[in-house]
Amino acid sequence: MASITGIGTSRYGNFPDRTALSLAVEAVTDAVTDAALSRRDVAGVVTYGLDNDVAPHALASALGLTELDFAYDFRAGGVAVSALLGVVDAILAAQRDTGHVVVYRAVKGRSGHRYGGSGRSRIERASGESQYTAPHGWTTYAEHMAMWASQHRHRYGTKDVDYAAVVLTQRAHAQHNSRAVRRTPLTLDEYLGAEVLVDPFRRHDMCVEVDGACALVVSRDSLADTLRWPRVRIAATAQASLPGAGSSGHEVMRLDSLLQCYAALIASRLFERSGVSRTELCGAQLYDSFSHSVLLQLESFGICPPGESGEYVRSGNCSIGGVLPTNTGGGMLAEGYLHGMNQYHEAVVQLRGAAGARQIPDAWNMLVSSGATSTGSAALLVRDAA
Amino acid sequence: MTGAGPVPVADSVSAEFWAGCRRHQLLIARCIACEHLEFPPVERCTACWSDRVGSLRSEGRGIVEAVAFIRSSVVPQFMEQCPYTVVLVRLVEGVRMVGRLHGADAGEDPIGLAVRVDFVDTVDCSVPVWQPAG
Repeated sequence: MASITGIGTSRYGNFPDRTALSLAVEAVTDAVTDAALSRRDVAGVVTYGLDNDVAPHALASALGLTELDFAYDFRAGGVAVSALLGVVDAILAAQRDTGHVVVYRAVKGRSGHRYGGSGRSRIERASGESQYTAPHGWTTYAEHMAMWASQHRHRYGTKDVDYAAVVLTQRAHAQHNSRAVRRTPLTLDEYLGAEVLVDPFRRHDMCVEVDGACALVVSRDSLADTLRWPRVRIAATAQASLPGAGSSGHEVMRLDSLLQCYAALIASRLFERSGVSRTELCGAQLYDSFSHSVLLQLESFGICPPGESGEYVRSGNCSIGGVLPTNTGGGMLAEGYLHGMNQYHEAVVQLRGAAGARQIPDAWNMLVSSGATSTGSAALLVRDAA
Repeated sequence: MTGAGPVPVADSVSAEFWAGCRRHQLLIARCIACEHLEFPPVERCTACWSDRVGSLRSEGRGIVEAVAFIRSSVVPQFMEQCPYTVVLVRLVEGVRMVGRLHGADAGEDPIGLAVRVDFVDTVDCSVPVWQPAG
């Protein structure tokens, strides 16, 4: 069994003159220092590239990590972060002398490759899976997610105020997070006054692309107790895809419903494996590439009944002090899009009791998820009693 | 309209579909062994793994299951076309396709709407689009 013993970040923002490697170096140094470890303690480095990459060996060279016995890029993207922690746990089990593994992600999401598609030039040809979708002008994540949202609205009458509730709640949390890029609170009028870009999404409903890096140190449990912080155990991980899932938006042609996401398949597994029940959850850090991803996951994880997520958030349940404080650092909608790593950083801060004004009182467990639609993974983190 | 979109690059699996579009026929992959239908077309039947996959000409009618109203795009050629509507259509044969919806009231929820196929021709290709069956 493994625990998260160190967390680190670079600054998040628009840094055209910095390379992704430079950002990765900053975050990994921060995480290893946070764990009270040194360069020689790092036995493995792992990342999950997708468009923006810093190769593990490039990072190892830049940081003088000479004692590595594991370095790999899993190339699976944001849907895999939680599953990847399960892989690291397995590596620690198989390689009994490996002690500490760094998991990191660095993106030039603002000044480099924009996941949202900004700065794209004309698309002249569409091959592979995209030949069935791109010729129709359906190419971006926002446009893909809009299809999912349309079924929810048709079936349950989801309204703008439901999406606003997610956005406003997370923006309120972000006020207390100095790393957050969107730190100013947002009013309902301001939200509703913003232009709808791809129905039902305004810019506020889409995660904010940044340049940045985030890193975790994952340690063998027997070593974790001697370190600086109370250990945050990876109690369970789970991963699944809906039948028909694909690698891009075109999968909607094979999915029987867009009303539930991957979380519906892993929820009970995750709670059973971790020994933490749904009603015991202290908080959740849910993958929020879009506001709708949060609503979908609240329902698919069984946190609220289908169709009631909007009301659930509007009633304050996801706010700090609510039943299930969610995305307490502002999430990727407000803090910045670190491809699902933000969720882990914030979960660990909360479980250490180090979240200051945004602290969830007595938080001892946290649901953390990775992925928004057909494919994803999640973990339950637990801080063991001292 | 759709003609300004990227040109689909036909491959060994999709060539028959795009050739069908050129003739204004909407083709669905059908397994010759077990008659299982599939879209997008597949190399091998997902039901029985037969590699003998042929085509069935669709009636070209279906029901809208989901919609994206695109009012603003980050892709230059699509920005010029905004606003436009893309729908997920479930064909009467059971498979689904994504395509533009033409001729429906802008902004009105088309989910549940019965639609029929039409084709937009350009120099390079023909692309299926959907309009109310009415």
